[in-house]
Amino acid sequence: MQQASEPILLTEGLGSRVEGPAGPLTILDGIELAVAPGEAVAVLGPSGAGKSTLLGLLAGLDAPTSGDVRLLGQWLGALDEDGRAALRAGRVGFVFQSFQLVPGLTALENVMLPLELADRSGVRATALAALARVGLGERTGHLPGQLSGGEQQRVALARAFAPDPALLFADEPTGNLDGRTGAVVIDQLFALRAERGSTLVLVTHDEAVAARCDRRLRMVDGVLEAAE
Amino acid sequence: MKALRFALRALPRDLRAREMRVLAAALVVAVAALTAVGFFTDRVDRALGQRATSLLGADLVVAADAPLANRWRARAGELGLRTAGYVTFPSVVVADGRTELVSVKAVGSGYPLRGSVRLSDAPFGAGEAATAIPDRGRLWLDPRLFARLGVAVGDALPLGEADLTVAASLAHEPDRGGALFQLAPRIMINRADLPATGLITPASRVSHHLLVAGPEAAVAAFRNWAAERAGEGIELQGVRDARPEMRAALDRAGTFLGLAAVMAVMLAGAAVAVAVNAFSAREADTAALMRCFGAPLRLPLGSLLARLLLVGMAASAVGVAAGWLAQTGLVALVGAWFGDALPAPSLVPVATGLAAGLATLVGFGLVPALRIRRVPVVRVLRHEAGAPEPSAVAAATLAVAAVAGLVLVQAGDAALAGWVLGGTAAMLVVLAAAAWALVRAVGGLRGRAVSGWRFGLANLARRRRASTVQLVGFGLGLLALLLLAVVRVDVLRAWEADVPAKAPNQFMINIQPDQVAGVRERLEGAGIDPEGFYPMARGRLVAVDGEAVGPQDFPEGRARRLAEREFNLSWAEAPRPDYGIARGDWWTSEEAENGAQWSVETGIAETLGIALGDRLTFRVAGERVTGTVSNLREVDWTSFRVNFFVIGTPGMMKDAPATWITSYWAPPDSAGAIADLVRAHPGVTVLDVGELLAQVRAIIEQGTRAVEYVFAFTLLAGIIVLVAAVQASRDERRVEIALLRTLGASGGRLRAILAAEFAALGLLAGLIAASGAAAIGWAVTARVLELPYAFNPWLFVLGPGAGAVGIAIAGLAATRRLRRERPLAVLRAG
Repeated sequence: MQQASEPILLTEGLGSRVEGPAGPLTILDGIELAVAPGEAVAVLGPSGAGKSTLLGLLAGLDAPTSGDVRLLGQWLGALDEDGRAALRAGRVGFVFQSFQLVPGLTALENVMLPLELADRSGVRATALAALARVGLGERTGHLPGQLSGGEQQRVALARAFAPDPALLFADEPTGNLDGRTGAVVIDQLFALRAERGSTLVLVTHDEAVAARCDRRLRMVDGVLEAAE
Repeated sequence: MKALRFALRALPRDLRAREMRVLAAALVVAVAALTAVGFFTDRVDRALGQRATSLLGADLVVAADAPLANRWRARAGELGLRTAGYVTFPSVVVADGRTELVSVKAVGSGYPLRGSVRLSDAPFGAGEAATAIPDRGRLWLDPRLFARLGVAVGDALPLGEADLTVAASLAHEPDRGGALFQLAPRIMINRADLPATGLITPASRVSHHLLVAGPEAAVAAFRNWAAERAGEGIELQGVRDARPEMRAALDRAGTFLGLAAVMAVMLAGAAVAVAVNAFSAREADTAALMRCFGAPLRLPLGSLLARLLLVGMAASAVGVAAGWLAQTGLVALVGAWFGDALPAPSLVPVATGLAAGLATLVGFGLVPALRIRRVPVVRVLRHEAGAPEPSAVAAATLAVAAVAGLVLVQAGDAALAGWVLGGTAAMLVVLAAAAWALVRAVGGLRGRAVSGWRFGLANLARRRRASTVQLVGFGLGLLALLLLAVVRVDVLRAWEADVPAKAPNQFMINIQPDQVAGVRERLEGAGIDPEGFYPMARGRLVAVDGEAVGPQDFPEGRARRLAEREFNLSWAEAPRPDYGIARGDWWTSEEAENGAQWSVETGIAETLGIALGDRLTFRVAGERVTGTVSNLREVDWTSFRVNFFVIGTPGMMKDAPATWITSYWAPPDSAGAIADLVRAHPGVTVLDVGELLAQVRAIIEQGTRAVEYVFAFTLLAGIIVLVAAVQASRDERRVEIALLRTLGASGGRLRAILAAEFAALGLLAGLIAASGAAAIGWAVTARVLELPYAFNPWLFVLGPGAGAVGIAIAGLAATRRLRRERPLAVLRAG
């Protein structure tokens, strides 16, 4: 486990470039970020500012063109794709803007998925409890297509928190929801985080949501600045 | 291991996923089609084989120059085989002061083991099946001999030292084999009467035959045992060693059935490719998500492959069962056409069905499935980040390899397999190129198109890869349908036309040169049109390139048997139009008059090792006749016209003692006129091959029906494959339709847009399929079956027309429910 003083997430000169039609395009430039265990950090910024790219790099879903990320005490640059995946298993949770539920699986099966991948025991009971916690204990057998957007995102919340992850990444979790539904989901997200003491990295363009985090950063032209 | 565990746990969920259901259904349908064809073909093939055995009188015949040792019959008995025997030898009968050369056949009890002898009370009657062999002291007489010998049923006829009673006219003898023109009229007696005739002496030329029949495996075992002991005057004759015209008919039936099976394999591949492509596309999201949640790469990959394999095996097993059921229905429907009940199928189609199902899955599904390895994990954040499309080259190579294996197993014919594979490869290349061209052309067209078409065409252009895949699927499906609906009919027509309805059914031989004019006049007077009169002389091959040869110089078996026999030599100035000169040139009229050249049939040239330029010497009526082989000539044995293995230049043969031969189609009511002709020209011999011809035609017709029914089933599979292809693209369209609805598109507009897209796909796929069908039709007709090919322009009307209309209707039907979904639900589900 991490010592309380050591960041759970740390970047050094993190950069991302892509080859565009008009030459190389810098998306992220020398990002330096340290997130302490238990901290909730919001990354703000307009659409296309590179927030999601940053999230992908922080979680090891993509490889940077420069710099490195230390996640849960491991430098990702030293790991291959499978190594990064193994690092995430059961310890890193995700909530996505577009929910990302497997359409062929029921709500319960979707929640069971990360538990199974992390080789946890009592997968079913844990998943049922997680669904009950988000108020969907009666809808465990429903397929994603049979659930409303808000319900789908709550299933995603249950899925993210079920393995009790040390770190949770959330990418615009209310981006596809109307204001009232979004508020319910955000309330549940922060309540679960408080219960579990998970670290949270939240990408959003919603100032009100960001305001609920311990720290707010703003993406501007590929550079991360502290936001007031 | 974990992947397998995961796969097993995921499997029930998979079965709820539409893609896996489509995949399983496609595979079940594909394997069912394949095995139904396999089972049915297997049974028809066996039925045809058994029917052919009736022309041999047995499943296997052992022919020997000397009596066979007892162990031959004993061995057959040990294997549980039925046996019978007969001896044949030439003899002469004298009655009423007339002498006739005859061929005596003394048969033992049980003869024939397959087919039956038919007897009639009067000469040339149709007759009824005999239930036993001739009684002691009685004989059955060739119908031609009654007039010549002046005898009737019930009269006594001396045969050697015995006096036998003419009991019946021999209307049909199932195994009247050998070279037609050497047949002397038959007298059939009971073998027990043979010693009394005193005709068999040590110097007699007697041919001994052991007939064997029984279960296939036992016959095969006996054949293996006998093959080791054959040689030196002992020869085995199976169905395939029987007469060349029989062999040609059987080979063609086999080729057609093989082709039908090949079509099922192709459809199987198209169905699986479409279904796996759709499934792996869906799995991309799940794989990215699993990896995001910490799964190693091998887990989603292994899980996917294991599930595909499990579903593939289960679907193949279900498909085999469905195929068996389907063929049972098929047999119930058409069983009557094959006379007796079809024999039970072997287990081979079960094994080939399962293997073919897996081979099809791997061949067509592996490359699209492996895409999952390259799905970027970041797809969970950016949905547009997808796995690169599978390599078309890799996919095509593997698919072609799978088809190649299956085609070889199914067709068992390398030439056919080669053409089918070449056609497939060319078809895929053409389809891909045409899809590319379409996508390019669409960019220019959409600006000028009316609104529905504009959006539909834009859809095609935008989904370039998907359009290509669909085009290939539809193109293959339509190709199959065209082959079945149009090319099949054309090819069968060409095949049937190859044996004309009024093919000669009688041969007239021993016509003396001075009788030719009279015979021709009488035939024409009876309304019969002889196809030609040919001179003929008997000659024995005695030297090749000046070196004396005898039978011992040729390999055992057919070659030696041919070398032992006297050849029927003919001569002609000009080649008949139906001769195909394979090598060398026919002689000029100058050479015909003064040259010494031979034209040799290609088959016998190959058997005897005769090459162009060889100098062959025949002994004809005591004189040596030597000439150079100036051409090798192909003969169509199924034409039933007069054909010769060896033809010489008239100048070389002018002194040979000739008799003449002709063949003609005799209508059923001409028996009286023929009998009069024979009485007026004693010595002229009539050989009636109508019976033989009828049997060959019956086998060809049954083969045709079998192929038609096999193809009818494949046609059904083709339609299902087309529907599956449309179904597989359903999900892609959901969001798009919802979006259009949201933007205010009316139901009519939606229909127009989708109809335009599907119709454009169908039109192009139909055009390409028509070209492919024409090419394959030509290849099969002209190259494989060596029949004349006639181009059918309807292909290019039916192909694009049926493609546009059919695929538009199928596409609209498949998307009907999508068009009724509430757009918000779809868009929210993402």
